[in-house]
Amino acid sequence: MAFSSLIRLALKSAWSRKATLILSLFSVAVSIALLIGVDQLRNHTKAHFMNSLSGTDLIVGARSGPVNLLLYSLFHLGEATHNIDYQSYLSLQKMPQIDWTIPLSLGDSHRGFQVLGTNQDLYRHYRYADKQALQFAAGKPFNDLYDVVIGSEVARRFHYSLGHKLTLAHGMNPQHAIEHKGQIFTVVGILEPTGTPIDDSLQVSLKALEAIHVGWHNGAPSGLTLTPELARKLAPQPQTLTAVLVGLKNPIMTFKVQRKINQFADEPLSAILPGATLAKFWKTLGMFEKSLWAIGALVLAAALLNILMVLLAPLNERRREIAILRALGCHAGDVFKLFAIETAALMLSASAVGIALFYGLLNLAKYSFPQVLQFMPSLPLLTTQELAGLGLLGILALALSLIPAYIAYKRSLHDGLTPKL
Amino acid sequence: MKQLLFVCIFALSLFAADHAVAKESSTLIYWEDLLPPGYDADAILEKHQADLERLDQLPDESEEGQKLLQKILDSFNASPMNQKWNHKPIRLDGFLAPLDIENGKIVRFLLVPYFGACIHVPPPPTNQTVLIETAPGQAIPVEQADYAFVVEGTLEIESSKTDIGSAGYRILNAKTTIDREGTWLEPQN
Repeated sequence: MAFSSLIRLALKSAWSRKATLILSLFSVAVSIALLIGVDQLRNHTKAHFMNSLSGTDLIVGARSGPVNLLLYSLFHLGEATHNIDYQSYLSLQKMPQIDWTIPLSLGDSHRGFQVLGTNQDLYRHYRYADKQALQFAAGKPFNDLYDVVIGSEVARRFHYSLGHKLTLAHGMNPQHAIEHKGQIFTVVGILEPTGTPIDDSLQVSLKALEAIHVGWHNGAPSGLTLTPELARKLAPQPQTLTAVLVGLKNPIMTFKVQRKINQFADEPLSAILPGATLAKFWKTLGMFEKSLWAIGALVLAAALLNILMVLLAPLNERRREIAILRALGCHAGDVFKLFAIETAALMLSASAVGIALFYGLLNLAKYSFPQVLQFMPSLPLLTTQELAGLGLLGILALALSLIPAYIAYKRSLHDGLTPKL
Repeated sequence: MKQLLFVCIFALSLFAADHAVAKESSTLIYWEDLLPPGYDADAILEKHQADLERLDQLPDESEEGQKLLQKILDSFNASPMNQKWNHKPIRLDGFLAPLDIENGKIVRFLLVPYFGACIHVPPPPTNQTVLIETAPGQAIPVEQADYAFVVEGTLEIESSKTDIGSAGYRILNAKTTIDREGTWLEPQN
């Protein structure tokens, strides 16, 4: 029988059993969405974490676990247990083995995005990925007290451009953050995308953070309303910092300097090697990733068995259908083709639905958990490995379809043109 | 015909010679080899014999005692380099303290004699630490950061111009091979 007619017949036959087949399609689609989701999440998480810092020898912060310090200082995840004294930062700068430092002060936000208090050293010394420095898409670093530089993601999300006025809020939770009303900041610079947490941040000078907190005690707003000019005059020197990024003149001295900072007499400090800590962190994530894979694989196995069942179950009822087809000139071997076509159609549509489901769920998750999933793009491209995986899946399903096809073939030979039902 | 054969043999020999020169064999060294001869704990303690005797006589927490102790500690911390291996191709087995990670691969790290150098135990002295920059394609996947690795390359010694300067051992363009068995890295003799 001509192949095109076989296709038409197979599809028509499938359509007559559409109820069970559509359910089967969805179960495969869900498992495909899950597996693509796990793979995409894994790749983007790895890139996001592994490329965030380059050429930094130590990160210094208050005493806390190394992974904790890494997460809150670099990735703005979690909170600092304690701040460090500004004097300690000045002492660090005086250490002869230290080449450069970048001070960081965290705690304020703007519409859910992290505000970084820092100084010009961020733009001079911060490196990421392959020793890339921060580039400006527009504008320049902050200079005046009320200047702010924004990351690419902040600019994109709220459509900010140079000259835009905004206010900052105290605390990270958008619902409970207390706005620093009356202190208006102007966007003077927008950074190029980096794929690091810098994209999701706004940067102001350390002095500016002091200015907006004049009169605040222990995290509560002051009763005073200050004009910006008055705040300029009254803003004290910074008192505390959250963390300091450190670059050494000679990396061989890393352990010695780390030891010295850990034993600092004036304040309990903790110095970590970001590279080593990232590696350790990734190992922990790796176990989580493996279990996600295992779940995904099991879900897929269940879906494939579902296909098998959906093909095997109606075999008895289809004996008459096949007998009629044979009467119309269908060869015995064409029975295999019928089943293969049906399976192929099922897998193709399941893949399409699965991919669409993945994009839909991804954006739903991004909307529901904006902080956690900020680093995932809205429409990520599928990698060649993922597409190859889908192809392999299709071949696997086709192989499985051989089982019911063979049974049907044997029965059709036995039945001839008059099946005994 | 004879000329063609001659040219072929000549080209082949050039290639072989070039290959042979490029692949000078590297020597397997151990961490003790990076210490200058005669530099070990016992030798230092012998130098400070008089100081140690004086320390025994002093009460605890005395200022003079602290100064003497610092003097002895400074001797231990001096850690001079052993010039013997400068510019020589070597292989050294050690553990990693990652410094720079690109695309999930460690491209720059410190090679140290034992596992967990950056966590609890006292850090290794500077003459027992080698700064490694991997050759292209030799970067180590992050998942393998806990294993021992044999690093192969030419050892360079940066001499210090100031007392902090850029002193230390380093290997640039290093080749790395994983050593899954490495636990106690001692000479096998």
